[in-house]
Order: sequence, then structure tokens, then C-alpha cells
Amino acid sequence: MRRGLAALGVVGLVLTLLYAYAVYRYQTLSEASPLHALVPWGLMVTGYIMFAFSSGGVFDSMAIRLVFYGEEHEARAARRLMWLALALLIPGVVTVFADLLHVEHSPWIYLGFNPSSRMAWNGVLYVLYAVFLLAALLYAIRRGDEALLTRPGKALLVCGLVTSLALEYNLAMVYGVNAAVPGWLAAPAGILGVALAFLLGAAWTVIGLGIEGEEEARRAAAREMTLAAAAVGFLTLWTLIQEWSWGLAKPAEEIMVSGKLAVVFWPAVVLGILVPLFTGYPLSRRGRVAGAVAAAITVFGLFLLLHGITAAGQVARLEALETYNTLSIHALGAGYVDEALHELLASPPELLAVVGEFGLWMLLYAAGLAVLALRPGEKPRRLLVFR
Amino acid sequence: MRVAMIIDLNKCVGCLACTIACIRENIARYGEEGPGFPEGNLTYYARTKPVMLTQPYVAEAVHAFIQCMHCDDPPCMHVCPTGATYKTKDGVVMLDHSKCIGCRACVIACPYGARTVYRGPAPRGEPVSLESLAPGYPDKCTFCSHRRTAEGELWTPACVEACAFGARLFGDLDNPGDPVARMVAEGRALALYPAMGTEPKLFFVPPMRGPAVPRKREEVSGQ
Repeated sequence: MRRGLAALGVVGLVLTLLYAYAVYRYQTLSEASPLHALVPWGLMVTGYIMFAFSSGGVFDSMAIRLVFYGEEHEARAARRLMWLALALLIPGVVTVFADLLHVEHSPWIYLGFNPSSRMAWNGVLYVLYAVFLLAALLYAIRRGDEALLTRPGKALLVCGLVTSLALEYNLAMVYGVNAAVPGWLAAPAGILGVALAFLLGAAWTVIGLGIEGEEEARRAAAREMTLAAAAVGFLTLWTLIQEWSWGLAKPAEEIMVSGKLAVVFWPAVVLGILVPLFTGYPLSRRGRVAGAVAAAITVFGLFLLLHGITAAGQVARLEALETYNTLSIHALGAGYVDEALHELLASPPELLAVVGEFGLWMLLYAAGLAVLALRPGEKPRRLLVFR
Repeated sequence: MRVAMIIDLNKCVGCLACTIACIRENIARYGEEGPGFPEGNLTYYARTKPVMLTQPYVAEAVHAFIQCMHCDDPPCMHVCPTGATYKTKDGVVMLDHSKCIGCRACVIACPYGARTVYRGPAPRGEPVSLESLAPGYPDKCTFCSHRRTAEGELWTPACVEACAFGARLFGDLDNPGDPVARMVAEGRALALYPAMGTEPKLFFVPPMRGPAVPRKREEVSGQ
């Protein structure tokens, strides 16, 4: 197990260096292209949303099992799961800042708080969620796993659960309130965001506990993948039907289902929805490796699904609003859609940054398992939380 | 005072003097070595961009301009997490560069595609004003509000000054005697996408019926 953790850490370190390089490239990018205005939200935006959903999903499911069902096997896995959630949250938050073009002004998110902005609320919700997550983790390490089943432990978990659900909903509604992007406005974005969080959370739990952890909790998460995949599948279908039935949003549906993004969307449906739907329950009775592989495929598929929705909305916006369409053609020529899609799908610094985010997670998760007192019943010996 | 602009498409001949005036005033920088410009398609970074308006606004495609509409209810201001995009007392939607984090939410939220981000190198020289184009910021029209000389008094934006045909008018919507307010009140000047509810303050006078720009396609084919 130690060798496995070391290998995970080394791969994570290499990819984290790649991440740092990619962020440097992105921040120092000097390229005059109208594409930066036409399709401003690229792979890094999808990347940080996915990591935030993943972290929230891991915590939500664990908190619900502990608070409402009092499952003891979940309590034994709770420390690892909370560390997993934190290790997923950190790459997400770092990428939020890495994606900003003027990160030096970021204190204004709090100093100039704009209550009508969903993004401003995200800034608050990220902090609140992180505080409750960290507090619950420290509480469990200091007082033991069973402490999470007591009243103060449950209170911390409920606070974390509420802020996490609010964060997931609000993150998705950053898309859902955009009248300028009909493909997103038509979608039941907030609810889809929460469902995606549960599916991603279950998949990451299977991966995380597959590396080291409680077998019963891992199996429960594998079963949860099936249920969450059914919810995500239904909400994706609902999104498509709404887009299809509303003129302005129809181009978003067309571009995903039968247009230039079909090569992203259909693999996303197969890998992100059908794989967990049909393998989750059977894999709950199989070994860790098979479960982890299915869960990793699910995470990849859901990244594609999220990015498909992100990209299709932005490209369909150009299609839907005629003045915008003509503006793009004026600036870029008739092939603007291809250029915009290329920028959205294959921007080298953003692609590297997303790969690097996974590396940062690997590094943090492996380091935490190696040095923190995260095993069931383990008492910290050094500096309050360390082995 | 609520400032507004009207572009009369009957008078506009598409000479792009307004676009060039905007580039000179807001995009270019000046130094001892002469003017410096951003890289790439300059027209795209101008704050008043020529486009073709098509159906459903007009039967035949006609030249128009996309620029910040200075909406009374601006979506870009609502989504801005830091309050960097704000509205002045006289209704001009502005960007405070010192608060902008570069999240591009405003670019996404603008239904008119009026905000652009230039990510190339800074042009050489000094900008004309603090509101001039700066790399990495979601640039937008300011109605040349750096030309304002006194509170409560109208000024003349560079594009209005440059238009030789009087196709651009700038005025006060709250002053019933102002030609801009009158044309809007009479319904001669129309806003784009009024159904969006953003209440734009840039209006267009649509092309009148005539042999050069027929209002309906049938009139051309004689059907």
C-alpha cells in the first residue's frame, strides 16, 4: 500500500508541476484573438466546476449517511472521505483563481461584494463550505470517528451539507441565469448541478476508498453511482428537451446531439451516464480495481458532459443571436464556429491545466493518507492531526 | 440626466468614420514614435463595431453597429462579482479596471456581444484616458465619458463628432426637449431586443421604405 501511495504521490507531483507550467502559460498568454471574447469560458472553467462538484458530492453523500442514517461503516470512512473532499476542493479553488485574468484584484470579490452576482455568492459559499469541511475533519481526527454521530458532530456535518448543496446549485446557476446564452437558460441548471455533484461524489468515493479505505462504504458509493446516474440521465434528457422546444436554445441542442459537439456529447453520455448506470450496482460486489476503473471512466465522461454543455451554450449563442453571428463572421470569417470550438476544446494551456488539476489532487490525497491520522480509530500523535 | 445615443441607419453611409474615431480616441495609444495599436483586427477591438442587421429587424441586410447599449438594467453589471462594472448617475455603464478580476462573466452575460477582451500585448505609447483599452480587461464603450467637462452637462462622444452625415445623435432621455428624447418617445428610434428587458439606451432609426432599402423582400421581387 505504501508503494502504491508513493507512486500516486510521484505521478501527482509531476502533474502538479505540469499544472504550474500550464497556469503560467495561461496567465502570460499574449495573443490577439477575438475568440477570447466570443468563447471566454474554456476548459479551465469546466475543470474547476467539476472539481467543486466532486468535492461537494463526496461530502454530501457522507454527511447524509452519517446524519440521517447513522451508518457506522460510513463513520469509519469519514476522515478519509473528508480529506478526499478537501483534496478535491483545493485544485478546484486554485483553478478558479488561476483562470482569472487579474487575480491580483481578487480581494474585491469580498471587498466589493455584489449581491446580485452568483459568482460573488460562490466566493462566500466556497469559504463557508471549506470552513465546515475542515472543522468536521479536525473534529473527527481529534475526537474520534464516533464523534461525528454525536450532536456537535452532526451539526458540523449539516452546516457543511447545506453550504455544499448551496454551492453546487449556485455554481450551476452561474450558467442558468444567463439570458444571453439560451442553451444554458433553458436548462434546469441548478438541479442538474446537484445531481452531477452526487454522481461525481460517488465516483470519487469509489476511487478514493479503492486506493485505501472501508470496503462497505466503497460498495455503498458504487450502488449510489447507479441511482445518481439515473438522475443525471433524466435531467440531461430534460435539458435537451427544453432546448429542443425553445427556438433560441435549439441550436445548443442541435450542436450537441447531431452537430459538431456530438463527438463530445455521445461519448459523455456513454461514459458518464450509461457506464455508472449499468456497472455501479454489479461493481459494488466486485473488487476495488474494477470499481475504480469504472468510476474513473465516469469522472472522465462527466467532465466531457459538463464541457459539452459549457461549449455548446457559447457556440450556440453565436448561432442564436443574429447580430452576434454577423459580428463574429465580420471578425473571423465564415469558419468562426470551427475556430471557436477548437479554442474551447483544445486550448493547450487550459488542457494541460485540467490534467494538472488531477495531479494536484493525487499529490494532496496521497500526502494526506501518508501523514495525517485518517485511519479508523487512529489517534494523532504529532501536531494535533499528524500520525 | 440619462444619456442615450441614436444611430440613424437612413443617414449612415457605412464610411466607418465613427469606428476609426473610436479607435483613435479609445483604442490607440500615443507616444514619440507615433500611434500604437493593438495587434489583430482593429475593427474588432473598436468600441463601435460594424455588423449586418438582418431579419427580423429589417427585410434586407443593412449596416449597423454593435457597441455597449448602456442598458438601464445591465446584465453585465448584475453578474459582475466585484462591482467593477457599474452605472454612473447619468446612466453610463462603466468598468472600474482596479476592481476587475477578469472572470469574463460580463462578456458572457451581454446579450449584444458588446464586450471584448483583448489579450495581446499592450500597444506602445500612452492611452488617451484611464478608460482606454487595456489588455486582459472586458473592454466596452463608455460614451467617451472622459470628455465630460462638468456634472450634469452633455458632452460629445468621438463617434458623434466624427459622423459627417449626422447619423449619430447623443442626448438626454430625461429632457423632453432633447431631439434624442423626442425621437425615442415618438417611437422613431428603436432598441435592439427590447424583449430581453435590459432597457438599452442605444437606439436605431430603422431604414425607411424606399427603393434603395425596401422594407419587405416582396417589394424587390415585385410579388
